[in-house]
Amino acid sequence: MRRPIIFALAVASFAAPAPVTAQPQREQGPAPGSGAAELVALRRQVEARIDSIVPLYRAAIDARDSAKRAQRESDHAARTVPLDTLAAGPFLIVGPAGAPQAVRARFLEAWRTLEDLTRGAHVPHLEGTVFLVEYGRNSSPLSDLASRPQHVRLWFPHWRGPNWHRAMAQSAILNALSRDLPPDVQAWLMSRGLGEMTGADHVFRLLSLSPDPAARECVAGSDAACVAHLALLAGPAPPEEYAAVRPLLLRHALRLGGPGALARLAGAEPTSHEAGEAMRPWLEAAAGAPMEAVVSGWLQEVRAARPDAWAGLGRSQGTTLLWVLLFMALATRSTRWRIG
Amino acid sequence: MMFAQVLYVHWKAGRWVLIPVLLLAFGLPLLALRTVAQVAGSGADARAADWIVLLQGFSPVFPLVALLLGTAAALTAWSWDHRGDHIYALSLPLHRRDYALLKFAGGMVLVGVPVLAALAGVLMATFTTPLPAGLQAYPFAFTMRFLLAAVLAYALMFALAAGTKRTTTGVVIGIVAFLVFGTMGVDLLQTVLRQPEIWTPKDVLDAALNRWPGPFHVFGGNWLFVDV
Repeated sequence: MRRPIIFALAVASFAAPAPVTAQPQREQGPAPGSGAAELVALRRQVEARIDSIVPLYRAAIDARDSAKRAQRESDHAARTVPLDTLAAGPFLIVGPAGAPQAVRARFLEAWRTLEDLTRGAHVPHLEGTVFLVEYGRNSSPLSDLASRPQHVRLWFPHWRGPNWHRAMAQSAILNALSRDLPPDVQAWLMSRGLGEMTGADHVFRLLSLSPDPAARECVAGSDAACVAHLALLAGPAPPEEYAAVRPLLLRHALRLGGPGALARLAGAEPTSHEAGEAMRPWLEAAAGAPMEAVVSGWLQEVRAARPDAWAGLGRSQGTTLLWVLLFMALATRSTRWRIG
Repeated sequence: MMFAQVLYVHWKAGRWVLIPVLLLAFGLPLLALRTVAQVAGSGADARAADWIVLLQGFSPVFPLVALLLGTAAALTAWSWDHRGDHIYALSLPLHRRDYALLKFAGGMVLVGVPVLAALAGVLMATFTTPLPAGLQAYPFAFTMRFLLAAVLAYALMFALAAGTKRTTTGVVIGIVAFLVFGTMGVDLLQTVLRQPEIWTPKDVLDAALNRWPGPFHVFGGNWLFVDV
């Protein structure tokens, strides 16, 4: 676009009459047959010619851009794989062709463990959720999809194995489910999802290492100290490092409540309660048990999750011994040993 | 008697490699804990959570030292035999299999010494550095992990070094070729078949070796010698 304009200006300026500096030119038309008139006519011809060329030039530019775009799309299509959409439970999974079959199996396994909780519950958010699953290394057409509120993007590196995928799927489903919780409960969760991946062992470490004596009392077995220190039931938000504990507690209550826990939670009415125990009706409804039992059960779980320095060593000893024997046998079977 | 001689030859061949590894095994726990105490404070002012984070930064070094120890012990077990074209071994009134087992046992003894040094290092580090409240030392769990990792690395490298140079070179080239050409092949297949689920050679090796009951899963896990 810039070139024809520059060219036109150049030609036009070349064709324009030289300015007369000695005396100002009078405003009058050039005399027929004079040099100036020829110049003006030439200028008009050039301008007309340029005007006729510019559309052709623009068409050429458009054609080039289209060809480039087509080439880019073709390259992109060659690098990417088509999308598959599958239903798993009440939600959809979209991902590169082939991948969702494996991912779907993990989602179904995860859903089986959660389905009972949602029995009888109205879960419009979960039902409308579309999990966009990235799987392979190639660039995915998922990146071209417009992001919508019901879209949840997930990354399932295939080398992480089925156990990790199942845990990830469960977490994603629980997070989607969080949006179907009553607003009061969502506010208590402080925008955290129910699918919080933080483990009870992490909570145990945080509590054990806190400089606050109440935290260590909590680890030592005082449930009341835990409730106060972690601001478990209501009140001001707990310190940032403990932000994950509320989702973990609610998840424990739902698990304890079993089938229909979510429906009971949604149907619970806030009642008059002691100060600082705003969550009592919700937790009791979800778990179908007194709040003290819910909190105590969860804290027992946390205390039992103490990181074990010996973890895995028992089976490691056995397998390591077997591998050592195998390598030893290979060493004695080497070519060198056949000489003797 | 024969075992003592084999052990002595192995020690002579490997002492200049094994002594630095022994010093590393002994000194690293001390260095790690002293550094952590300096950065995260000690005694009443200690930030215990920072201790864990910093120690987690050090923890990948210990499996590497174990790997180094096992490899050094295994390679030096055969270095003299390879240099002398196995003539000395052939001249012994001993079946080759028994000779290999004697060598293997000798190497295990040599591996055991730095492992004990690691235990001593951890014990000394945890006795001389006051731990923050809430943390405690796990010297024996750490040493057991270190021992298993070192023995495994030793056994694998021993098996590799026991073969001819040609066999060892073949195995190494095979693995490298599998990684390089396999990755290229998988990329091609992923594009042609539009199938993103194909495992790369790296995935295959990772799954086969690192996940239980693969041989190398012991190199993962909790290598903290101080924890809650």
